[in-house]
Amino acid sequence: MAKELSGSELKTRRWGMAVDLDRCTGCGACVAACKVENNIPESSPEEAQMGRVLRWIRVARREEPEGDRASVSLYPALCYHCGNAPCTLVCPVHATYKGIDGLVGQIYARCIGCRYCMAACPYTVKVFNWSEPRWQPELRAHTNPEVSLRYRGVVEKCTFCSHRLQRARDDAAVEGRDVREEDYQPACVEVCPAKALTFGDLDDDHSGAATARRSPRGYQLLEELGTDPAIVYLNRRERRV
Amino acid sequence: MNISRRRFLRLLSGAGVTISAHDWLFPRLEAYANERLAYGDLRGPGFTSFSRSVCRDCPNHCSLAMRKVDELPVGLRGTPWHPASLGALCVAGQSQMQALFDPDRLERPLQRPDAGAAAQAVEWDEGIQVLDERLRGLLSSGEGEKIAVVDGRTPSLGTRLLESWVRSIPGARYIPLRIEHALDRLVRQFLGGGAGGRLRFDLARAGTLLLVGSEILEHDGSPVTQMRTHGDRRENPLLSHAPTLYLGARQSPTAVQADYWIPCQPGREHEILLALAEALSKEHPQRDSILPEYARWISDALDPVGFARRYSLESVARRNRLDVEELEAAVRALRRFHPAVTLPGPGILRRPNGFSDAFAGLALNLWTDGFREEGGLSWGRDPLTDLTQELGLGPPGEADPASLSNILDPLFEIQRSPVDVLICVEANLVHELPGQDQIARALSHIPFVASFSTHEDETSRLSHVTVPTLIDLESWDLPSAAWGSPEASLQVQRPALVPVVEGRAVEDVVLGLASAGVAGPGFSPGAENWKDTVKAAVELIVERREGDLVDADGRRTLESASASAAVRSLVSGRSVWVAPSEPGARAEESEAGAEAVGGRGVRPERPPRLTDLAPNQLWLIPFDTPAVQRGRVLNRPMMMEISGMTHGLAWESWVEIHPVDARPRRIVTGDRVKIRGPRAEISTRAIVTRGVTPSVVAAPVGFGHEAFGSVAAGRGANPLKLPFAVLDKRTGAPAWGPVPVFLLKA
Amino acid sequence: MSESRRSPADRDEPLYRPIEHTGAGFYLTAALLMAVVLFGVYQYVNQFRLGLGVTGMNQPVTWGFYIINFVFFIGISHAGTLISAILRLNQAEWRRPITRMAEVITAIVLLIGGLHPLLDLGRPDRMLNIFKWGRLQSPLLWDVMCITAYFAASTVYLYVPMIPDIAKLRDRGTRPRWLYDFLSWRWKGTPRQRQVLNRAMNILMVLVIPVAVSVHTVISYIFAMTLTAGWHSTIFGPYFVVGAIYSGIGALLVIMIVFRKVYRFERYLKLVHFANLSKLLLVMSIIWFYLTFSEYLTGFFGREPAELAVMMFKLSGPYAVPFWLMVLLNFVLPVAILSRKRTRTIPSILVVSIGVVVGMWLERLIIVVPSLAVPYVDFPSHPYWPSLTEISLFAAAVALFWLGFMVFAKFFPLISIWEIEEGREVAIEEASSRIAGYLPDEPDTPVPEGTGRAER
Repeated sequence: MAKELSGSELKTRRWGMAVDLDRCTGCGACVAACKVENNIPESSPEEAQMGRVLRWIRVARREEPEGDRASVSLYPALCYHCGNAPCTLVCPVHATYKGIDGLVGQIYARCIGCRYCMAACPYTVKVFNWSEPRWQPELRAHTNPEVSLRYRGVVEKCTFCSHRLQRARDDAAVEGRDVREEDYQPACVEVCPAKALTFGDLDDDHSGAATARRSPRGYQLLEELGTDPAIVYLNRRERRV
Repeated sequence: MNISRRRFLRLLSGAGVTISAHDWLFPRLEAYANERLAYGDLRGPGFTSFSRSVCRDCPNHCSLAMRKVDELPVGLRGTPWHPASLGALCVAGQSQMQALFDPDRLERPLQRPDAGAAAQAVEWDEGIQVLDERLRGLLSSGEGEKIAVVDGRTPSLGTRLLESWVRSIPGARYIPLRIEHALDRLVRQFLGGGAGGRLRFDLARAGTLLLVGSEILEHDGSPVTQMRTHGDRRENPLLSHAPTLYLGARQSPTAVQADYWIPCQPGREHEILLALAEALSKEHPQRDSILPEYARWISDALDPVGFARRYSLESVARRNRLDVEELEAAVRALRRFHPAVTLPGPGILRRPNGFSDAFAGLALNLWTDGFREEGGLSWGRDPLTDLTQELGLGPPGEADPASLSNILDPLFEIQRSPVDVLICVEANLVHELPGQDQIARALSHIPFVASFSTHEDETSRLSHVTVPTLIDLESWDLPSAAWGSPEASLQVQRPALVPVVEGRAVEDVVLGLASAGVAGPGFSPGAENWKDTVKAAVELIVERREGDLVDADGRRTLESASASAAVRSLVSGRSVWVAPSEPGARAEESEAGAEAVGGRGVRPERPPRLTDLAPNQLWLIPFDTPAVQRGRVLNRPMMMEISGMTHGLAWESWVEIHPVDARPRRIVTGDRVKIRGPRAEISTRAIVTRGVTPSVVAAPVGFGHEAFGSVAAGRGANPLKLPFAVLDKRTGAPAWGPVPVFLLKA
Repeated sequence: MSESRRSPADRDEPLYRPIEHTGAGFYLTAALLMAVVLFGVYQYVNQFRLGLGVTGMNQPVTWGFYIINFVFFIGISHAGTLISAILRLNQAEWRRPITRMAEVITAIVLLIGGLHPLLDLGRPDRMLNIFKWGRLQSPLLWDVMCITAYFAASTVYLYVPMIPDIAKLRDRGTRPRWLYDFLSWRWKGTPRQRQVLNRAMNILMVLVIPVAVSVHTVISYIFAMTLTAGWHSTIFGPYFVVGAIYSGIGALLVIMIVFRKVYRFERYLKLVHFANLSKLLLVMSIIWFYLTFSEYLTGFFGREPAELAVMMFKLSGPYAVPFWLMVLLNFVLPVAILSRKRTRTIPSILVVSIGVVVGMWLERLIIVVPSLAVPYVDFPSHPYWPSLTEISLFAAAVALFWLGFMVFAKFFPLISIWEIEEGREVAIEEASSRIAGYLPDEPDTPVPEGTGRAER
């Protein structure tokens, strides 16, 4: 058996995701999976009406008019874990930061709730706990014990299910090897019925995500801002008869 | 050796105790040791285990794994070895936990002295006693025809048990409510497949795919499978240029993923389809032999010259305000990428005239070889059929397509009930059928209504007895293959946990009634309780096809090509398909089919015309979304929040309207609007989008519950309030028609 | 007239009057304002208990009234210190009755404005994390530093020139004696003391100008440092500073006119002061318009989609009414009224300056909200409407400002008495000798060595 490694000895990765828009049907399974995995409570109808729904991933709809019709596309939008993350630059208390393997983390216990990171995020993916989260007592008991519950007044966002990465790293360290790609997948990727999401190490040229990134169909959202998002979209192919 | 008597007796009794303990004590000791010693270190705090069940929210029947930490359920996941889902789960499947722990669930039967009166919770036996007395009375007087059972569940051994119980009573009617049955019937009439079969389609094998209101990526058939094969199809080098066309009034997610969306006024799909068929058939070698047969179905075709003129691409394009080039491109695609498959969706079957649209869609397959098995469309055998026969539950009956309307129509017209007892099993007729108030009034004329439901819903409010049912995660069953899925499978559904509320399965209630003598002759389920019945069925499967079973952890018990193949070979029967090169054979089958729908040369009902609209009026088209599912899942907060997500809505319903219609009414996205139909008015939020055709108001079905738990009640608006209660006589399906409505800013 | 016979101290008797005589009107107004403030406090306690859910903010519009008012109040604070420092530095003689009021505005408003980010915090209990975990790279920390520095500098700058006046109050025996005794620092007006005072004032006024400029520059950086369309602009620093001074002058004029009326300072605050200040207002109005124009033209001309979307949201979208109202109040009205001498009367100046204050508040609204409401990506936008909490806290802030000003006026003279006296005594002489110094030299005076050549 290989020697046990410490966390810092593990190979550094750059986790990223490829979203194939040819496959994504906007069914919302990723949204549901994220809610369950990360203990995101449902908003009350009143809050929802005010636009305060807590979602770490959502299905966005873009409509580009083409005469009387529109070219509609649906795509999942989540934290892009930017290589050059604007939110981490502005945080006054180091509550949102670049963590292990390039993941942008959020320390709920330190956040002062100034929402500067939300204003700075060009992708509008961060959410704020406007009120104390409402939990049905029956469901509160059945939350995922691996993810902390948040409270009012802090900002939260997609963590790429970093608790899963943590577990994969622990396992790998104990077994004295690096984290393999198959060890770690966020909940949304795991559940996607259309297999539209591919997750992997962007630095590893052979991973699905890195291959997708090199694809001529690949593009990053708001590439021009230079934030270097870790999520690449594969554009829909034009098919004309 | 010298053994004293006393010692001998002691030895003897010791041996006796040991032998008797062998059976009782040792297994317990061993289990204790296993638990405490072998796994002692794993069973510490945070021990994670999985128990499996099946999601029955849609006919795909995905396998669920309930994740438990310290025996406390914390979430649901898919299982990667399920042949259809491959580990995926849709929104509804993932929200099942919320249904499980919903505080509004019924725990005890409710009884009402009179329909609509205040309910009173009674003991289980008391509640069932009421049902028992009613049924017994009719049974003893030989009035079996006064019993009708409407079943809203997906097909499984449980539905077969219920069906077999109902059919054992002479004259009693069993009516499956799900729309899939209607399409199955239609295809069967057209294709001539046997009873108990299923339409299967495999997108991955289709060349051009023409979807006619068929939301294959959302809820028709097996969305999880279809989503994946749709993506695979795109990546298949042979098919990567083969287009997908979508014909319909609303740009649904399926239409978004299609390469072409041909917007079409509601109810005029058949025109476009017939135009395409006419254009394609011109070059077809068998045109002369097929066309006369065509005339059996559509009287227009009796006059070939007039037919050709009426359904020329140009005239159809003009009538439907389409670009003729668009239709020509569609014809080119259908001709070029073979085999082209046309798939009429249940969506269009929900129209009063949906039959002709669906027929036209199927007819188009004649000219494009779409019905060849390699084209992806086939007629598959339901794996349950053999099983139920072997279990002694008898063959599935031929459901009368018009049976629901046979019951409801007299109620509407003469307000006298043809039945004395109506039992609705997870079928919320009042909410899910068009013409809410009409249905409600009709139900009030039935002397005795019983409903089986997890919650007190609109129908149970009008029932005399409401019996609680179990959530899928608590039930035993053998759900059958997914409708439309190429992967046919039977799987064992086991409770993932001890039932949260003290409840009984519907089947247990039925078996209880049967054992008390409330059943027809010949009903022999073979076991006293439902769990044993399921176990007996599983044993039968194991006996029959021992080699092909896949256990819950994906391990094959015997060598076989793949897990999914093993399950398929375990349960699937021979596929039936009709080749267009055998017109004679098909003509016979079609004749039988034609009879079933009312004889030769039946003229399809006239679709509503564009000119039927008064000035300022729009067509209301209710549509299904997977996140709402006719409202059956809206008691889960998660579904309420996710269902309108792409429009930025939560906990609300909406209507989609085109900017052309919104502008003169000064409506912008987010405004509250009123939709005034001939009989009712609803108010909801407007979404202005170019994703619908002009002069159409598209509204999702399922919202606007009046009861069904505190989460669902009073949220959004139900568009089914607006249409008249119409049940299509040919398909037996509730018809949701396009309804002319006025749209106003509230 | 009888006044000429009075002693100098008696001549400025009206300036002591507000301190020594308190009418029923004062208590009534103070009670009213106090009620508003207390209601605000109640609302805040509510917010503290329940979270920011009681506000009207939502997912794309994550900043609302609190941040708008923060920028607005800090902007008003430029009224004071900057204007008074610049006027003092320039030795503009007409400044004498104005500076004190300007400085008081700064101190009070800065205190109120500085509280607003705390109102906006989701977790005010964790406020001290800013010191524990503070990241100096964050523009918010720059703000914390600049505002505290500015507050320190401007309160000292208010206090130091007030010492001789406090001494006068002490000498008059005004109650509470201990207060004036303590605050007057044994000021006796000796030449040494005067020298130290002048020196301190000179150092402070030089110091306070860059600090003041930095404050509003840094506030603009909060916005400009993000990539958000409509915010990410290099012009924001000067644009905010100019806007701040502009709104500050407007607020100063309103205060001057109101307290002139209430405390009958007509003899001190004469039309010429208003005329001069309103000319300054006019100049700022034009500079403001110039910067606004530059800002919008670059956005419009580039036709960058995101930038354009935000702009159209302001020009013709839901924010069209506040936008065009802002242009009317901040540019059209001031230029139309103030550029003609005939219309530069005190009532019209009052109208214009109230308009400017409102207009500048609208400008802050238009900067903060639309950029958030129109994000880059497809995000369902919800209209932002402030809740009762936000409105009542805004009202409380405004009430607190007036209350603070009134209370200040109850204890200290609103017009610097000793500077007025100094003006009477030495200013004319000093000014005339200064003006004489500007005049060309007589032909026979020798050209100082070096200077002439260097100029050539």
